[in-house]
Amino acid sequence: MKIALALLLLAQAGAVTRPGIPTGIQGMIVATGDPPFALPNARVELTRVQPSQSGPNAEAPRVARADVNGRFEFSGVRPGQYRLKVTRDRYLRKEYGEVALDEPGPPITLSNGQRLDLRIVLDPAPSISGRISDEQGEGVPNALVRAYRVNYDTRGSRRITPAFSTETDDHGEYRLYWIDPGEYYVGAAIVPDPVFDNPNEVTPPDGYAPMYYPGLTDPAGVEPIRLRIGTEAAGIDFRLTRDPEFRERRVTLRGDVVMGRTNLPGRSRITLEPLGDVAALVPRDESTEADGSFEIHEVEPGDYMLVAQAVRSAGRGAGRETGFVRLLIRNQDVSGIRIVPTTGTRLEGLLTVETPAGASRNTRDLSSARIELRPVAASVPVAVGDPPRAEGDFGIDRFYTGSDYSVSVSGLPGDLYLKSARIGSVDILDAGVFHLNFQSASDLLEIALGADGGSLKGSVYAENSNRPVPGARVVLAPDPKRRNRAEQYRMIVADDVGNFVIRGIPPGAYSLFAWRRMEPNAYLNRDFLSSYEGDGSPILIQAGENKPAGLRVIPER
Amino acid sequence: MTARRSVVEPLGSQEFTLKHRAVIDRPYKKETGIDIAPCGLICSRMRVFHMRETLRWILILTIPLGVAVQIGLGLQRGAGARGQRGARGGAPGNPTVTPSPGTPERGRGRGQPNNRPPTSVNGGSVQGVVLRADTNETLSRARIDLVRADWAPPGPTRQVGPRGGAAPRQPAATSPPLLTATTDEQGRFQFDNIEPGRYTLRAARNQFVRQDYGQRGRNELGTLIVVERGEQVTGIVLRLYLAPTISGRVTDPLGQPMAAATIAAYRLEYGPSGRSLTLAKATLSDDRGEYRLFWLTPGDYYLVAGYGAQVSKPLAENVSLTPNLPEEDQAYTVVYYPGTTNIRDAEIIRLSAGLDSFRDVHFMETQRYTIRGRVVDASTYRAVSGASVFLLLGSGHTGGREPDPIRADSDGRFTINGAAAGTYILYATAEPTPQALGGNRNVLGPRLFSELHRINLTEDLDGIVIPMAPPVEITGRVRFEGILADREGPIDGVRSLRELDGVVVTLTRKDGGVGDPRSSALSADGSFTILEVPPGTYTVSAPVPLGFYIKGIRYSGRDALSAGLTIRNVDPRSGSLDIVFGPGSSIDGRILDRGNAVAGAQIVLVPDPRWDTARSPDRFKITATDTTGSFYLRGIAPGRYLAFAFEELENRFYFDPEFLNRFGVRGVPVQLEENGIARPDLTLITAAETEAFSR
Repeated sequence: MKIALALLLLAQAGAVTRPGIPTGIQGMIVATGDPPFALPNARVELTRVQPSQSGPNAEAPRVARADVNGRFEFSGVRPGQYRLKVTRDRYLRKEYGEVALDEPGPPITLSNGQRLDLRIVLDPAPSISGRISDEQGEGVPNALVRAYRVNYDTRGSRRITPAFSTETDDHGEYRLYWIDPGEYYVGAAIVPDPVFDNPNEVTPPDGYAPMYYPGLTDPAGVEPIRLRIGTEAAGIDFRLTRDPEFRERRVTLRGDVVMGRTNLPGRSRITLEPLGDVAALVPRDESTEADGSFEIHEVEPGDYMLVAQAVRSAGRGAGRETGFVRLLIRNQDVSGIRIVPTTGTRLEGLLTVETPAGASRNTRDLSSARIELRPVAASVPVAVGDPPRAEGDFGIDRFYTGSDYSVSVSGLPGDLYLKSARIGSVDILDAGVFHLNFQSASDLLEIALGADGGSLKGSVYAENSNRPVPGARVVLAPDPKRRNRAEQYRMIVADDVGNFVIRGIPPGAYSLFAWRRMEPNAYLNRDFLSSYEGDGSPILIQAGENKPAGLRVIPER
Repeated sequence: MTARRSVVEPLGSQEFTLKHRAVIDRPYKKETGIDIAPCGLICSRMRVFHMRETLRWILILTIPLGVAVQIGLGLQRGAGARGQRGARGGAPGNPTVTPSPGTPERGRGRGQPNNRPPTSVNGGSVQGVVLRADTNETLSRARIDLVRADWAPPGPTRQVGPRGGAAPRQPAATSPPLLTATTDEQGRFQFDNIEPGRYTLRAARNQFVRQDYGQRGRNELGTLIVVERGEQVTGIVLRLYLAPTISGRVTDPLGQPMAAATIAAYRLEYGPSGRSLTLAKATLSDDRGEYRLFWLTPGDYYLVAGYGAQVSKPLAENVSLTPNLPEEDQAYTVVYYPGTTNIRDAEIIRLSAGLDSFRDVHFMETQRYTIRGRVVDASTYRAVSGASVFLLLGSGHTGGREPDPIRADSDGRFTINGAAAGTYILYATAEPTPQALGGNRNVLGPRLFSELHRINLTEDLDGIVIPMAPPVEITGRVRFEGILADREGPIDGVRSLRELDGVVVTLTRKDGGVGDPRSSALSADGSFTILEVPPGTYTVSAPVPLGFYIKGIRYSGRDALSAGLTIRNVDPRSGSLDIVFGPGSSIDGRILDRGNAVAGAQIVLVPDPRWDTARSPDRFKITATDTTGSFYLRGIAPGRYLAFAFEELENRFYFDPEFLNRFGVRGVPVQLEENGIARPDLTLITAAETEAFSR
């Protein structure tokens, strides 16, 4: 497959291999259009792939600028593997051969005496612009305007996180330019400028709560702004209005951090992470005083995880201590919060392979399996298991009681799949997340792998033709009764000719979907998937079955 | 000459009648149990200055203009009068004052104060109106601040201060009490129940230039409003002028619009070192290359443009720019409007009120250079592995922020590519690394710092060696020499030291280096310890008690008052800092013109150039006469001075030697001893005389 891909890339690239021709990479940058047109002055960066070299001794990238005809050239390039990235004003960044934005494909391979001629097509980047005014209609200067991206966490929970921001000018106007395609909410807030203090600018009186287009204090329930390639979303205007209760609503959190290792106050980084499915609140990063005390002001009520990460101390385990407290904040200040960072505990586990004849000790090499316990709160570190030994036993360090986790197993050989995971009598896959309030010596994470998985091999085609869709997102979702089982979903990116292979599928009924673009983890969100239910193809995978499949990409809405 | 601005201010059908009050000059009396510190505005201003210094990074550099240029990124929070060129509004014509028999029962709907620390049941009131200077229309939604000018900080109360590493707790209050109001739909404001005292009144509104009551020239002090017990001060008119803006378009060498370029307006001002540039405002261009530097204060400006992460860092930290911006391997040289890399060829942009000045900036292709060198331990000359090497623009256009570092390799070697021609500061820091002490590798060594190395980059540089050493720990003590002969009785050092308990001594870099100021709170006995001070030259800021002056600062026996405190890597790793306060002297007086009090006259005390050539900034003093025409300055260092009374003072020309050459003969020589007092007989220098100089 890799050889086929490399040959394909060479064919697209127009490779010339001839003795006497100096080895090099050249090409042309063009813009999407009908017909496409040459783009001058693009920045082209060529980086040699050096897995063994990193840090200060790594080879510096070479940079070229496209000429007036959009042409660029790197001469005297040593044979090897390279990545080529292109950026240009007003266009989306692109890496040659990428399957999607920021998802690189295979590197470019340059042989001795070879000269590659590449063609890179850039897409225009979208923008959002508008005006922020106050109740009187006056433009609000220096308002912080944020574009919040709609995305999904590893459990499919919908998140609204700040992606890009800018400030308004004296007319209240703003431009969020050249941002990435996607779904956005636009919010504005009055934030004191920490850098400049112009005596002629009057900070508005307190009490202006953050607002979201088209003029709401909560973005939930509003349709996001969908930005496609080249979209110019102008006129995203809205007003900031005073909310007399806004100031009263915000509270102060006070407490201290005591290191579990020494029982002494410790200097830590503090993160206040909002939880919940729709969280437009921004995580707050603070530091404790030297005596371990902290105060966090102006906190909006909500569900939070307050996480302390120890910084710069000497000794074993130094700097790896984490502590956390979950806080449901209402309209009152909270004092006396104590966080005790520790290095966590070790959870022992056992990995087995189930055969149709029943459970047995593993006879296959599972050392490549990567077992992770992923916390629901992003600020709590992921607990990564040791590679399982021949007997299937493994341990997971930095496990914290009290934290909600989901289990993930990847890197499985062949058609193995995650069949069950339990601690004692509790099936932790069925519940989706688990946590232990206390840990006893007998707690064992038992993970069973199925060996009777099926596979699916197919191609993705365009909506109305038989043209393949390279880079399509192919999702195999379990039938609605099993949608709570995150480990039974499969997502794969189609290759450069639209083909895909999915292995290790638990036997059962599924729906198969394909999108040209999709936010990472969106398919794990029930609402997202149900809105496309009619576009999926039902498919039944029997134990050990190798099934062919062909499907059309879902039209963009 | 009569006292000015005895006019009737038309306001629709309403009239604000202005009458001259019968002035009883008793500014130092004690009444209603409240001490009225006869300080004048300068006292509060100096305190604010100290506070501001802790928030300010100042870069001193010499650029090919032939003058020392001071570029500061000031976090000027609530300090400093910033008037406007040619502004004649906010006339200090004496406001109406009527006795109030008791508690005023006035509606609070108009311009209601937001907080009221200095209010009194039997207090007075201040009311007035804000107008647009160009149209005489009333201005609603203007913010009005009433600041107590004769305010002294409370005693040794401490409060929980802001967080911040080794920064000590701040004292209970470092700024005078403030009342705030907002003008109503008719532009009116009113403060009720205010304590007797002397007040600064200030108006600010978006789109307009902030203005103190009675302020006329830029940097000029306004007129203090004297409120007696139970008095109603009415008829105050503040006129605001539209603030000017510079806007335009930035293009690259190909003439294409340039996004995310940094455009900064530097205001030309006068300081003790001569002409100085102060960063007034900076912004980033948008995707069309367009920028707006809005609502500046009228004055003279240089427009400076830069491109790249280093110059845009202070601005880009506030916002999240697009990842689709091409990286900055085009390290353009900083450009001065209209398109020169040399400030001597730059054009001064003169902004007057209401002007929208359109200025396009064009970047040019420039040669780029490489700098190579090695970072070593100053004592062992061993390589410092992984040290962070910083190349800071010497022009100061980074806004005082540390640029992204280059990492030295395991041999301490570093390479900086793509630097444009220009002046730079090169330095290095290194985080603590484990030390093999007694077999315990868990003990961390100290951080290491280099001195600042100034380089003028006109070609590739190779073989630079940067020595590094641990920082210095400074222990110090504040002490008093002499007893202040105050009007309220003698004040000795013991009492003053008590007042200083918990306040902060701060070292602020003055050599172009960046980094947070180093500071320490004073203990009750006046001792302090400042940890981890990197090598460099610092200004020592110490809170000076009312009436005292800084008599001397010595660091390990060396003078650190006149030239600042300098620490080099060859110095010992600890040192002692001795700060001595002495009882200052004072001047007072009253400016009359044909028997009438002159309010808002600018009283300036300048070191006599015939006797004092050091031009130390703390020797320049300024205050303004209040509504009774009186002035009072205290805490003055002994020495010979020239005292002036200006009717109006554009910019701070008294720092300009040329100005002194012209007006020196009009100054009244004053010789002051410790605890001395002088009452110079000053004659008003008219606005017409000084205006000629400003042209």
